[in-house]
Amino acid sequence: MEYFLQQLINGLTLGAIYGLIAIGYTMVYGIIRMINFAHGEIYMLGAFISLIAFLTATTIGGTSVALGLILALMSTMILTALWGWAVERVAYRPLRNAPKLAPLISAIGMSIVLQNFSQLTQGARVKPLPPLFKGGIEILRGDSFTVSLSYLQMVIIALTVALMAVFTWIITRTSLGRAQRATEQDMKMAALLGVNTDRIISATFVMGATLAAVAGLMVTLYYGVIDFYIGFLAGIKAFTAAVLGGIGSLPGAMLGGLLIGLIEAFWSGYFSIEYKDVAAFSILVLVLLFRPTGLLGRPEVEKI
Amino acid sequence: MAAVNFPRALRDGVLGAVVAAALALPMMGFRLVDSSQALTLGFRFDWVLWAALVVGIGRFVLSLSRDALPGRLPVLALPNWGERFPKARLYVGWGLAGFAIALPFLPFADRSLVDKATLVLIYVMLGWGLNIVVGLAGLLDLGFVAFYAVGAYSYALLATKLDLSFWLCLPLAGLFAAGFGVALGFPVLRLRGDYLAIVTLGFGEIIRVILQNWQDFTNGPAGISAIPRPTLFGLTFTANAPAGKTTFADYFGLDFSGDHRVIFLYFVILALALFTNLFTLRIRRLPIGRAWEALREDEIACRSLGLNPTTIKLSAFATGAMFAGFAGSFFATRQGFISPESFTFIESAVILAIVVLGGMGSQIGVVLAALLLVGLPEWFRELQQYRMLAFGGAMVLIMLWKPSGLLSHRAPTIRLGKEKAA
Amino acid sequence: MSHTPLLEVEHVTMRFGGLFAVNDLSFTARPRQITAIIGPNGAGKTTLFNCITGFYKPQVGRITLHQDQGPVYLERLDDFDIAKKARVGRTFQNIRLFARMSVLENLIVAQHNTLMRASAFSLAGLLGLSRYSKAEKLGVDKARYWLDKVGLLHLADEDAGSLPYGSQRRLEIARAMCTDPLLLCLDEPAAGLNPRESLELNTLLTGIRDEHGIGLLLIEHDMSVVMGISDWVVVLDYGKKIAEGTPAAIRADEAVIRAYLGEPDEAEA
Repeated sequence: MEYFLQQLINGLTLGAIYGLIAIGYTMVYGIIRMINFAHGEIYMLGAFISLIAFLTATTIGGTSVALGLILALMSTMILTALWGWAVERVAYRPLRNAPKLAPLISAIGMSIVLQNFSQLTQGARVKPLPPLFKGGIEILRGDSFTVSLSYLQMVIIALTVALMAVFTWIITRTSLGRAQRATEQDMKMAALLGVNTDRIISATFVMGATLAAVAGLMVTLYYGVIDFYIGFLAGIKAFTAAVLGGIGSLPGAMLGGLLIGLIEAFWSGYFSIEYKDVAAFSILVLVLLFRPTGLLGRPEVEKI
Repeated sequence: MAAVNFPRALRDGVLGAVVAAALALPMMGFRLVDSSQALTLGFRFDWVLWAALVVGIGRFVLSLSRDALPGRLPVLALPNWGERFPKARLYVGWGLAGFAIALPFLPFADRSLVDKATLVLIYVMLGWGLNIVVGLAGLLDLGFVAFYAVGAYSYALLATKLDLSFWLCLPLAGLFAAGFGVALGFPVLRLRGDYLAIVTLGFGEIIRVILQNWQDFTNGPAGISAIPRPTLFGLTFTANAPAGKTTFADYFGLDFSGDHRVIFLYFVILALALFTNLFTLRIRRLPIGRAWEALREDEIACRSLGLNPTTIKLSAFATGAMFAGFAGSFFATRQGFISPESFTFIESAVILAIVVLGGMGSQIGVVLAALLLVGLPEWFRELQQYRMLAFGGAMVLIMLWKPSGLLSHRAPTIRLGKEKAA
Repeated sequence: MSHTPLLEVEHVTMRFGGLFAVNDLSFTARPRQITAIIGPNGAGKTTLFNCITGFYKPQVGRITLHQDQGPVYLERLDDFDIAKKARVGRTFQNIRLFARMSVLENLIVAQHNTLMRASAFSLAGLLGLSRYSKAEKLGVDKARYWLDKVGLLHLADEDAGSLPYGSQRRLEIARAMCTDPLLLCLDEPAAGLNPRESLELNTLLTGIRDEHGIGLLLIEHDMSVVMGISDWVVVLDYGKKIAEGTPAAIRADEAVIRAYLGEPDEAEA
């Protein structure tokens, strides 16, 4: 029982991180029907940038750990968002009206470029970080196992909830969100009504990148190591989460993320670690077989 | 020359430089140095300056040229020759084939050239195979490497465990791969395009993970080694013949040379690739090939004509998988050693890029794209670390330049021609 | 005139959530007749077509196609089986051609099943056996016949997508006819045609009815076509049948007039 609860907590934490990345995928797909293959690499850049910012603040700036983390959060959100914006501007916008596969190939190419850029500028070796968030609270003390909830896990979950609230508010209450939803439904019409669709699409990429940046910071703190390759695997799983939850749906992305996180945690906890990456995919295939539009997705009706 | 707007070009340049500086600052300006004690920072601000300069000047020039030369430069436009000279494709095709056959005997051909050409041909064959799935049938498969792996491992296991010859295993490998294609395709082919893409990507990864972890069967990360090389009607290409066999060199009275095997392997893959090409050209004129293309155009119209989309999609998937299986066995026999490392998602991406860059459906386009994406980086092996960066960059740049692919023109499979007058 | 119906629609209901697109609809279409389905927009006509041709599955009802060999029940068959086994052909409201294939190729694809049978699923073709080339030649002949019939023979090698609108509509009809259907369902074939083209369409459709002896089911808004060539008219409104009869009878039917033109104003009464 205790072990189960621990896996539950671990899974939810991991899932929150996946969910934040998944939102980026789902928003971009929702608005321009494109799988942003490079989004995983944006997350990876977010992790690196947060680490660099943190080190700069604490070692050079001499700030405290807490302030350093806050500065790292701010810097990574801004700079990674800029990366996200730049990638869209350079590699996707010119291909807005191209045949459907062209942006996909461009995205894959961009993903390779970013991975190798990271590898060349920062080296291929993993970067370890000493644990900054130590300690936690005990939830349940059993005979053989103690369930604990670390402070870091609490921060991750709290931050995720806060971000979800903010972004949901943006989407549903602001004019930006309205314009975005309009563009998502009918781009031409929105443009005719005066919406600057280019800017809205850029904003979508920026929002997704910001969330991915936060996820990058979280993962840096949570696992303590990062390398240039983390984007690929997390990217696939996060995209799986987005599809699982129903592509185009923001709550769906978070739900999918949480599910993937839980599946991974329980699978590696109870079955085998080696095949944990495969477990998520297998669940995806099963879900798509029986519910092709995902759990919270709206079925797209094609007019015959 | 149209009016050139210097102030705006200058502004573009400066903005570009500023953005580049901001982008470059964290990753290029700082360097994470991990020593035994802790993670520290190093600085490389000059890199940031260079990045800002390059991007700034680049934007400046781009802005000026856009003013000065409105409309695309005719040279860069690369007219669609396929459309203008339909007969030319035939001649170019035969020309390329002839050149390929003659290649090992040309004066400048050495062992390394033939070796590189062999690698390019593997990808050409894979590209032609994936072309059936993506180009003809319009099914977005991001996990093609799975069938490549099945073919490779089939041959490797059959050859090392059961001592079967390459030529016997080749069709078997194709069969296994095709079987996998049907098994994988059956549950997922009714999914819409992008979902199909992510699911096939997932399958590719699942296969790789299974290959890596099913130690008993596949030997895991250590891979399978000592895979036997193919023989030419029983003649081996080794220096000394194993018991009961003759070597190629002995039979033809030549001195043994390692080059013989390299050239032999080159011709094997050339034959396989040409077979793939001829098969594709032929099947396009047959009902199933036309059905593939019709399905790509409009699935609902196909249904209304009595075409069963599931069986049609499955046949495309299985056929493409079969060719990947053939290519896989060749890969295994050429390397002598395979491991799950060779079958990552990047391979699927490269093959897809070759198909899309070449221009979907264009056979010659695939050859061109393979030469560009696989051949060129091989030549730049010295700059090993920049290879993948250049590769990714090439993918992006070519897509920006020619989004429909280098050569995109569909040749009709049947013409009424002069009979129309009747 | 035969009294066995060709197509029997019995108590068909198609519901989307709470919306009854087709509500307890029953009617019959006879062989060698042109039956027109008319009604204001949103009356459920295309939904009905999609039920008959298998793209939707109605929740209630039975749809029977009577062949010489016996009845075929369409309501549970897959859409491609309806085309293949029941021999029901159709055209679409938003033309669905294979745009990047040539006109001729469109018609050859339509004969896919025949050619597959003749070529042993393309294997005979792969092996270069003559039985395939013979079958393909027959297919081309049939294509040529229909292209001639719709006046598109001179455009046989053009990309289907490059044809003008009216020609595309005719091509779609020719393509459907290449499947040798017993029942041809046409969804607004006259949409976007000018009066001369509508007249040519009338000739084409009556020709198909008379020379090939099949039944035609037609959704149309263009009254010159409906009144000009239909043998029987069924009127829908809000998913229900409100009238059924000969064109002349329908024209005078009060319920139909009300549905199309609305109630007269109080002041006028």
